[in-house]
Amino acid sequence: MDFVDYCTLAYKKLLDSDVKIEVSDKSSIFESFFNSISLNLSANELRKRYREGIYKTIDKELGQYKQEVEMLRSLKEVKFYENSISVYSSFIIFWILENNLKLNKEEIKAFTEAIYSGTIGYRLLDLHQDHNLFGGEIIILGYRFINLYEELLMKIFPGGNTFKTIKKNAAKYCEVEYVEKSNRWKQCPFNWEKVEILGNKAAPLFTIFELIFKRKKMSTTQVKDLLEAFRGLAVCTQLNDDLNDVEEDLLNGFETLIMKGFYAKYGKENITIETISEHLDQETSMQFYNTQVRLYNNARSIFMKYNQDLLLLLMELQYYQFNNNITIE
Amino acid sequence: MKKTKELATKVQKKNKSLQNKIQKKKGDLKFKIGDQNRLNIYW
Repeated sequence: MDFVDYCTLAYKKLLDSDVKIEVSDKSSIFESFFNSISLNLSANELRKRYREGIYKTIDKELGQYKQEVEMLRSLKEVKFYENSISVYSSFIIFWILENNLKLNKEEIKAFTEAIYSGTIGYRLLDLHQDHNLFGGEIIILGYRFINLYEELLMKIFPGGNTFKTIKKNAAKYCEVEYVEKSNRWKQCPFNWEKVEILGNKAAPLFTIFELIFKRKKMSTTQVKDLLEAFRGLAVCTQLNDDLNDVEEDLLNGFETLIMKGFYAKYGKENITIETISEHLDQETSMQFYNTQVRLYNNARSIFMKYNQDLLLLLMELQYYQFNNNITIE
Repeated sequence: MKKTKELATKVQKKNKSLQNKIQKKKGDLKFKIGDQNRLNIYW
């Protein structure tokens, strides 16, 4: 049974099982959720099948860089993404099945390969800049993966509108990343009033959703509203990610929104947990919290308005994880 | 009720209850910082 068949089986089981919703320290809520669908299914097995399928695609499309790609895939910075992609791809397949989207098995398989290529491709661009792990060659490889992602999407969704969608979202990604990268070792250029722009870091993923929403023949307004909800959720993920990586980001020259003003106050030489904790005052903490509550509630309203039950479920799971991480002292 | 809707409603109720508890508490919001206490936010 390959990855797509495994996801199809999981979706069928989901419809007649009593899934438990539990937050664990050891795994993400989405992984726990997947594991609780059935005793005969597991996120680990899902990953295994996903990797097998992806290896075949990489061999076919990027065979000459096999050794380099294998080395990259063994790095924790890449492996982590690979592990996540299998789980979130399974939920995208659930959506395709729930909405009876007219895509055959081969197209769904190619779609998951596109998601992988896009995520890894854009990740490689980031790795070069943010982690100083490699030279410029990694950017070249990143572009090759991105090209594969675009090529696959054009094949699955033929027509001029697909390229327009790819182009529009690539421009959004470029806009936010360009601003961020050109402000290295400078004050954070973003602000809480226009925090939505941070969600555009996930814009290549919006293409994935926009294309399946359009295939479902949703109205332009509905597509726009749903993507706005996704952008809000992407902001939440980004803010939490910034909190998790706060020290590493500062050491790499990136003052994220929660640390705005840090370099001016402490300089580049005093990046410690103590100075970071001191800088993360109550005002910033409240902005961090209130912004996410607002964006989660907005996404909830939009998904409920359009009866998007599966998207609502995913949003509520993410929100539940967030709520469980809050402590008040 | 459709299964996915039923599940979404179930988690939504848990969220509303947690949000109520958070809003009622008085005190400082705290977030753990550093690798040892990473927020578990990922997929």
